[in-house]
Amino acid sequence: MAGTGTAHLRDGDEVLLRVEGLTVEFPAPGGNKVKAVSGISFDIKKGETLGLVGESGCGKSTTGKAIIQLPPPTGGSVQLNGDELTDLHGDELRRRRTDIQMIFQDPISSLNPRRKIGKVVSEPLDVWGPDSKEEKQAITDKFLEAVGIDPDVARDKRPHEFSGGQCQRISIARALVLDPSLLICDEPVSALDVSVQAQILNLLGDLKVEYNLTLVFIAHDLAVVKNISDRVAVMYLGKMCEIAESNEMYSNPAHPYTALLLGSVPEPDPNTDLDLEIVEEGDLPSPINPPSGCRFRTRCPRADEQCAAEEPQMVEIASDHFVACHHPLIDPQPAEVSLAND
Amino acid sequence: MVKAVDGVDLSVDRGRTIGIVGESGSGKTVLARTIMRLNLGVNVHTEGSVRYAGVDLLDVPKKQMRDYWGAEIAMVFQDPMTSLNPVVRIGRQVTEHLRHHLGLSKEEAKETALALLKEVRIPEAEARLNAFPHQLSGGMRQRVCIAIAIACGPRLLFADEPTTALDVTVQHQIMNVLAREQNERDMGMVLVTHDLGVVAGRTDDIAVMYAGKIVERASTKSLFADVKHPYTEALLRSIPRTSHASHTRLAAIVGRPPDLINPPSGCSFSPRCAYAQDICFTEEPVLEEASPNHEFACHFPVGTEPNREAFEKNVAKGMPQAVSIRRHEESLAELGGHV
Repeated sequence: MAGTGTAHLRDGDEVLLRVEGLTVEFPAPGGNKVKAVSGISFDIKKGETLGLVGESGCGKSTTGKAIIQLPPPTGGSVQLNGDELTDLHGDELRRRRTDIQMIFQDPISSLNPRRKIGKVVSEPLDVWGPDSKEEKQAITDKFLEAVGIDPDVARDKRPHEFSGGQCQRISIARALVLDPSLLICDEPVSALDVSVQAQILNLLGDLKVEYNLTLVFIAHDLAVVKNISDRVAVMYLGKMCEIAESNEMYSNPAHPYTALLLGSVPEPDPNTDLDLEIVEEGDLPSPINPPSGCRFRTRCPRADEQCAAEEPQMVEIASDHFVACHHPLIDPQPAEVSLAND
Repeated sequence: MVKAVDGVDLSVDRGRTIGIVGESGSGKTVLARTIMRLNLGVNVHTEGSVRYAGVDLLDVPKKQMRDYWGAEIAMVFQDPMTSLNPVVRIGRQVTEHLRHHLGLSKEEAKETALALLKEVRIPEAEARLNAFPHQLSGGMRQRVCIAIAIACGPRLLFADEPTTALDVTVQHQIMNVLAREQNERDMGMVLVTHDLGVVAGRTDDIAVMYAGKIVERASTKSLFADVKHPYTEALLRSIPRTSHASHTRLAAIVGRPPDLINPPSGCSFSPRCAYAQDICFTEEPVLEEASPNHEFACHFPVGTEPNREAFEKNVAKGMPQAVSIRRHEESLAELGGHV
């Protein structure tokens, strides 16, 4: 994996968000740096859903936060509708940021337990919304209804009176009141039961259409990501491995890491052949001192000297299917070969 | 009174694995903890019997339960971060009950602990004995918990959501470790989880719980091949699958699990069921046999003519739970199954 390169970026007016060479580093003891995200690039078209998958610690949440400049990335560019967010500061940044909203993993702790729901959902409007109280309440009620919460019942209750699924609906309503164009969902369903998870995923799909939303959907569950995403990007240790249209990615994974992830998904079918081999669990490579070349090579069955020496670049292996690997699982498309011959 | 577990019958044979499946609040964890006598005694009313190798555990004085915990029956918990003591080195946490139950000397216990860590495939096991829990990854901590649980050779192992807090790749590995230990040591194992995907390939039998009761119980093969209870079917359908096309409409189960203080009359799943008819709201179904070793409690079991009729009636009435399933089916047909 471990790839860099921008071959997979698209041009055109429909691109809403363009992230290029995004790098996020945090200081670590001993003058070291935790390289949480190391030069990843991707873009999202208007109305598209991009799924970001990877194991814990691969930098997917950090990427989501870097998009809204919380904290601002160490390097790279984040463009929303052509505006460079990393150049904005203070009031300008805060105003521009209303266009991007976020939903978090734990629905209960992301709502203030001492506040009433009406207040929680209308707070963004107090800062950026209309002045009149009636208008604010009308907007709040409209979005609570849109997420399936009865505003008359909920308005004066507090978060502990709701279940996890309902709290997540309330968080979604809060994220929508300022009419954002980009919604970043950071593991929004991983704390929920399967039955409730399905409700929230269906709801997000409906809201996306109704309010012209563009989604970044961060999750570790590959089946969930496939269900909601148009395009999926796989991350490993701060780098991008593979990006493709979701059906294509899941039927033809090209990166050995994607294949490993897909092979680990438990399918609810007793007749699937399980790979029962037990692998010794080594320490994951540290993001303070990541492996040279391809960062996945220490766990990769296909790794060789080239992988240690050279970092793979993103190449188009099939139509709209990009992978950063020296030894991908599928052969590059013939079109590339003929180009090379020319 | 909250009836968390209500009239459950279960049996686990040596060398068999049974899965207990249900949503949060279905009573699966309370059941496991009651069997192990881990519930706090205050204000808990327990009826029935738990026979372990001929002894009724509910009659055993609490102090004597210590002879069973770890030595006879052991448990692996959901959260490997909090089930290990953060200020005690791994080595001592593994040797602690080796010394208590088996009366091993310090050196013997240490050697056994080392062998156990190697058995669950922890690399550099010797160095790990001196490590604190926070120095290990989540998956490695869960391996340590498994090593502790199997240390004294229990005959029955409870695993309560052992992989819920872990990444998929790690989950797969932990389940493999559990399966091998269970097989090699010929233990009985009870796997408690909310994820039907996890139990599918890894259990001999499955019991599905809803609102404190078992609503369907069958051998794993038979359960997946011939689902009878609408709740089991609904759980299976609500799981997103990698084999379905992207943007397939999910068949969500509407509503929430019932309030166990005032459970609904009739079948407790009726308010959320896509097939519910008048009788379901008044008469509680009892467990009946579909085939040998397959029981379910439902008036309109899945796959029968009355069930199909009930579904069409409910769709026509616009019942949200029935409509949700219809939309799922239409979306599957439109987008195609395997891509």
